[in-house]
Amino acid sequence: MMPGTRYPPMAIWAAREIQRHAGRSMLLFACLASLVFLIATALLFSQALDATWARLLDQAPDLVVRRIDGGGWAPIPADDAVAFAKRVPGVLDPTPRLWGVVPGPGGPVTVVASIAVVPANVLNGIKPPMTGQAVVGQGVARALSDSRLNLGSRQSLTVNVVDILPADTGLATHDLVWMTPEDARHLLGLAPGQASDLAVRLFRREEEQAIQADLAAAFPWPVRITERTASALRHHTRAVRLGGIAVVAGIPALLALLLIITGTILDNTGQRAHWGLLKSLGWTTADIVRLQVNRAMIVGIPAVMLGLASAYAAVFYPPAAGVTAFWITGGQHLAELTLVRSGASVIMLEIAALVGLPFLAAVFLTSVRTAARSPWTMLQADPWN
Amino acid sequence: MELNTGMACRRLDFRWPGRRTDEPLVLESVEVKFSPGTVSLVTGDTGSGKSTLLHLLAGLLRPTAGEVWADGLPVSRWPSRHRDPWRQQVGIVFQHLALIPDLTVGENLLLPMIPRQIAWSRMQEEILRQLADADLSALADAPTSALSGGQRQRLAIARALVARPRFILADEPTAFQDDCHAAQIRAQLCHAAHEGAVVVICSHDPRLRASDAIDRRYHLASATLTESSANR
Repeated sequence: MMPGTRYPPMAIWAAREIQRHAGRSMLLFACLASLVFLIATALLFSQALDATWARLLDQAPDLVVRRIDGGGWAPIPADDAVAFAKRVPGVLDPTPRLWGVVPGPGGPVTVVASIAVVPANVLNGIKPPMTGQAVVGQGVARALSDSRLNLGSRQSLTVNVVDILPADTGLATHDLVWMTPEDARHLLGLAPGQASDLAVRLFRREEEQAIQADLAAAFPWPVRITERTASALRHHTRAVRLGGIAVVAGIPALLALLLIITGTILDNTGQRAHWGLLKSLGWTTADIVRLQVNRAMIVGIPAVMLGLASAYAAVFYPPAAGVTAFWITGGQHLAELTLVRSGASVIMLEIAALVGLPFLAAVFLTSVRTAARSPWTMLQADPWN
Repeated sequence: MELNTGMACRRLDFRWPGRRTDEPLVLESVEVKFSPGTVSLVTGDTGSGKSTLLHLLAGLLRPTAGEVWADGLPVSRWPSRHRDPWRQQVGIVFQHLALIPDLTVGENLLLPMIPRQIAWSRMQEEILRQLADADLSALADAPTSALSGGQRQRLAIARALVARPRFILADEPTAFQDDCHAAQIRAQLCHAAHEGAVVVICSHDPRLRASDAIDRRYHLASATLTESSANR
């Protein structure tokens, strides 16, 4: 009697039982993997979208001040705007920014003179462009046939693309063209001393809302102020809503898969005669339950892992991620979409537990219920009687 | 009655569950002791309750009244959680054989060994030995469904013996056998008895009734079990 030899024969016999019922096992495997894939893709996508926005917005200024007039937004006098903003207590480091949308070779692109939205550690050592040079996002780079980039319509400019922004910043930099302030000003038609808006950092971030009235009053022209928290909340809400909608939209498929899984598990009751025979040969209820749990684990663990791996690939690998984003958001197909992977492992563990534990519990409970019956009663269901 | 070794029935009554109490009992006041090292034969007409008696002895059924004792233990009174593991001491041959047709011959023999915490090497050893004894060595990898009736019956007997159980209960073990193989089965059961097992056989087979290998003979009629003479 060697305790160590107890489990391998049982596990090996469980594998043999799976082989005996190969069709049913494959169906169970496919349903479990699909169920995990559907749930995991939706939840991983919304979590990754949220994490990506959170990382990008973390670098964003606390407040952005834009000058408005009857025709929409208007250029801001940079030096004056800085001086007005500095008068407001709590305001730190007001920075004029140059940016705007201009026609590019493959559609509109966003021209910026600084890349503050991308954290320095994510830039992977990309150096700021010199006059006549540009660093571009993945979407802009894809539309180029060589390193020359022609931009603008009335004010046109040709720059030499010297680098491409990292793929995992794509959510914010997909259509970005980073160039020198002089080139940007020329392209956007801004006079020297003018800026597109004013970025403001606060001594206390939590004063975002309180300080807005003072800040607006400090300028002699009407302004619109956007706060970072509002943007973050908007993106977070959108990401959660998208994930929720995707899960809800998949409910019929999830129900169908659950029905198949339940049916497969309940098929245990159809094995009464077989289990009655096993009990008459010396198997205990615990042995039969152990066999069933082994079977469920041999099928279930690879199925859950395959479902998770497929979902991970569908969310985090660019060509597939673009398709997933298109499927979940119903919006633009971003072939190069790259999302941040932090927090994904926790979500995957949660989904594995969410699907795996109820599945194992169902196998365990139905097996215990059936196998605990008297062996003679179970044998009466056999084909020989 | 000495109950310390072997298998015994004490004032055993049995009526099928759900039947009216005024209906006749299948077994009534059965008092018998099957000793280790002996081969006992139970005969009786069809429907007299021979198989039911074996199922009661094997712990598959519970008596309506009375008890089944095994090696001094009242196993029929035990709850399932104790009786299930005790059943590992029983090797049973069903009248309908109850083999699993899509498994191979070797795999059918493996079934009783799996829960017994036996090393793989010993399992293989026992299976090969039983296959040789049952004249089935060449068919170890054949599906059970491909066997003849006689081969299946020998396989069912090999399955009952493979784990070297303490109690061997065989229902019509020679029904489908020619004389040669019937003698071989008698020898297998006698060998098991000589190794200390309690062997109880239920059969109509005149070859068994006339065999010298049978130590004790019983006859079941009108729900009552009585010991009979050798040449009955």
